[in-house]
Amino acid sequence: MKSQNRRSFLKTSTAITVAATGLTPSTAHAGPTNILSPDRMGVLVDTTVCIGCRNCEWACKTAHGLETPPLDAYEDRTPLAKMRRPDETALTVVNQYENPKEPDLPITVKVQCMHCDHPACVSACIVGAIAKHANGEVVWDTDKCIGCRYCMVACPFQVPAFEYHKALGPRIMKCDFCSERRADGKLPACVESCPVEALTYGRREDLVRIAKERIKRSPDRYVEHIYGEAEVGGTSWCYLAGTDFDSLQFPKLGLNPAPGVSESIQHGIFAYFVPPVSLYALLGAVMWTSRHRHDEEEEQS
Amino acid sequence: MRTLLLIGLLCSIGGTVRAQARVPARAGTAAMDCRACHTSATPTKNSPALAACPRLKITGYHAVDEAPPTLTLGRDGATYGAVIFAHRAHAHMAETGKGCNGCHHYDQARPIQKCKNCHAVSRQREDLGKPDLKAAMHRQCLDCHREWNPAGSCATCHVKAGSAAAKGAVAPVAGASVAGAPVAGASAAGAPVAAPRKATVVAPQRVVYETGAKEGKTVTFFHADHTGRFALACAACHQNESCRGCHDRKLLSGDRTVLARQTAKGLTDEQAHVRCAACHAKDECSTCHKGMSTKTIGFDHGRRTGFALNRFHAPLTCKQCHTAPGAFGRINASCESCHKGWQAKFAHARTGLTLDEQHKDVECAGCHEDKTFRDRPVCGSCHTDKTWPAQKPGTAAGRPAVKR
Ligand code: SF4
Ligand code: SF4
Ligand code: SF4
Repeated sequence: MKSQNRRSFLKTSTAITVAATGLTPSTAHAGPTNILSPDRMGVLVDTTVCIGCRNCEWACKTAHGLETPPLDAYEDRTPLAKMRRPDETALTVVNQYENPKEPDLPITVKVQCMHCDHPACVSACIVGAIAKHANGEVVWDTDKCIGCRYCMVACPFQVPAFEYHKALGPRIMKCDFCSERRADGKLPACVESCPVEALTYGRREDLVRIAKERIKRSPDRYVEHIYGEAEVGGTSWCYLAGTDFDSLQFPKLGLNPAPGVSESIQHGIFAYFVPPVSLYALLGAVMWTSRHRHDEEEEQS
Repeated sequence: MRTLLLIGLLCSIGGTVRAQARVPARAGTAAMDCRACHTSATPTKNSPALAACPRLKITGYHAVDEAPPTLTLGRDGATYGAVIFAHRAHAHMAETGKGCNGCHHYDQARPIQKCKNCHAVSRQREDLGKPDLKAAMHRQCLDCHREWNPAGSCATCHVKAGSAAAKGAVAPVAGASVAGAPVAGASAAGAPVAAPRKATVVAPQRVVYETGAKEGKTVTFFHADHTGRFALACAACHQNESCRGCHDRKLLSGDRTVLARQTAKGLTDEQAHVRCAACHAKDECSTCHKGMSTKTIGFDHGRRTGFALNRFHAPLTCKQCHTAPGAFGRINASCESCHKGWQAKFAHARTGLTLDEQHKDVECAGCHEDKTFRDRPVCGSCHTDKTWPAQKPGTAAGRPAVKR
């Protein structure tokens, strides 16, 4: 991709390590470059509108070249009976919950990356392979990723998945907010396919305002909570619901951004006065060499 | 990659709608968005920021049978074809629900607006506050369809592109065969009507209600007689109800001859009687509650209500006093509330006191301070030693003096 690849990253970071003794820890901090534009986009998911048709699942897979049965097959509602998480084969899944207000009309909730405003996955990534962009998306860069999977551990929503089954070039898989489609001026595939517009795509600011209006206009329909407005410092995807978010298995999270794992590693490092950058380099080198060797073995066989 | 499915559903409720002096049963109850009429979210008195009103002129309301029989909604997309919508049949069904306004919200006045006058055809649009056209229409339909037919699929209404139905001459008409809703217009409009595709409504023969009454606990409602013999339209009784009340799949499979139903909890007696009262206002309680009478009500009327049913009141039926159906315990205990104008006709001499010249112009309340007339005033209640005459009024005519 546009900036460094894995090899050049390693070269530069090793070079830095050599000269790093004089660096202050703050400049060395590999934290996220949070460009929070007021115009960043988001999606408002209204779970009271969603009908659980899973058109979004189909559209997402189709748009990302993932294997999927034809749309017809999605009329079968039995997969909804099982709780699922987004994984490397499906970047978004729809889950079903009991509806206390209407037993015959279960609540369905689409799950995908929340595109946090202060993403833990970005903080966790020691090589900067995941980035939050000004347009709201949190995306992953193949060329930088060293496969450490810190992002998977760090994400408070357990979103990133790893292609374990792939020996060659396994990727971290998660919703990319249809980065390419949006760059072409198209809607995210799931938003476009939703027959009832349970997914509204727009500026996050506008969406929060619209969500507040909906709650105000139909207080019986909604609980007074926009999930993602404030959780973990705000997320680009926000949710409305007619019942407690707890009962829909939304994690109860604080309002502070979730810390990334690498941050806690750093704290450990500081305790022993080891300059962090050198440790990053060390970690990176270990990961890279082991993976590189692995790749070579695969290539040979 | 799939492009937008069915972009641009057309709500072509075109056609001129004739004016008729008929006011709809219900006004729209949907909470309105300010932006339906105002361009600003905070209109003020001085700058109301009114949007160009789509209701150009109000031409009145029309009867359901004047509604367009069928409409073509949407257009053929990659996956699904357009929907031929049995509009009039749905309008008939809607009479038992929210009426025309259930779908034509914010639109009680005529002419009826096209949906796309407000709902954008494209999902990439300026005003995200209201759903786009495709979503708006899907939501309208699914509001009811999911409720009564959760197992329904897209093909319930849409023909699949490339299917036999799409290729053949016969297009299914969505909702054309609902029992009780005349669909003659559907074929008259030129759209061929396919075989019935919808759940028909099977009306029960009888419904047995278990009520909260002590006596006459069950009420048997002869549903079939009401719809058959008395030819009552569904909407005569069923108003503002959910579709599932009649279109419940579970009810369809069960024995519909006799249904035992608990009268809904939380209803006041009055509310529980509302439907029947339209016709049965004058009937006795025992007409429906078998065996219910003042003798069998199962409680002490005097103790509970402070009005004992003694002497003349004992043989009365409930209805003779409690005229409003189901509205018990609300009667003012004064005689006047039933015996209107009795005082003018009352022969006061029967009480032992003739109202002579001195007394005949005194208001009743002048002596009887308590309106129930239970406490009998004596002369001393009004007169002191100095003011009362030697003889009680009427004694001159030969009646003995009574105690003072
Ligand atoms: S939800 Fe998880 S993967 Fe998505 S941005 Fe937030 S932390 Fe990263
Ligand atoms: S935004 Fe794109 S990647 Fe994310 S869930 Fe929707 S379709 Fe999938
Ligand atoms: S496409 Fe829309 S309605 Fe269907 S499951 Fe996804 S979010 Fe829900």
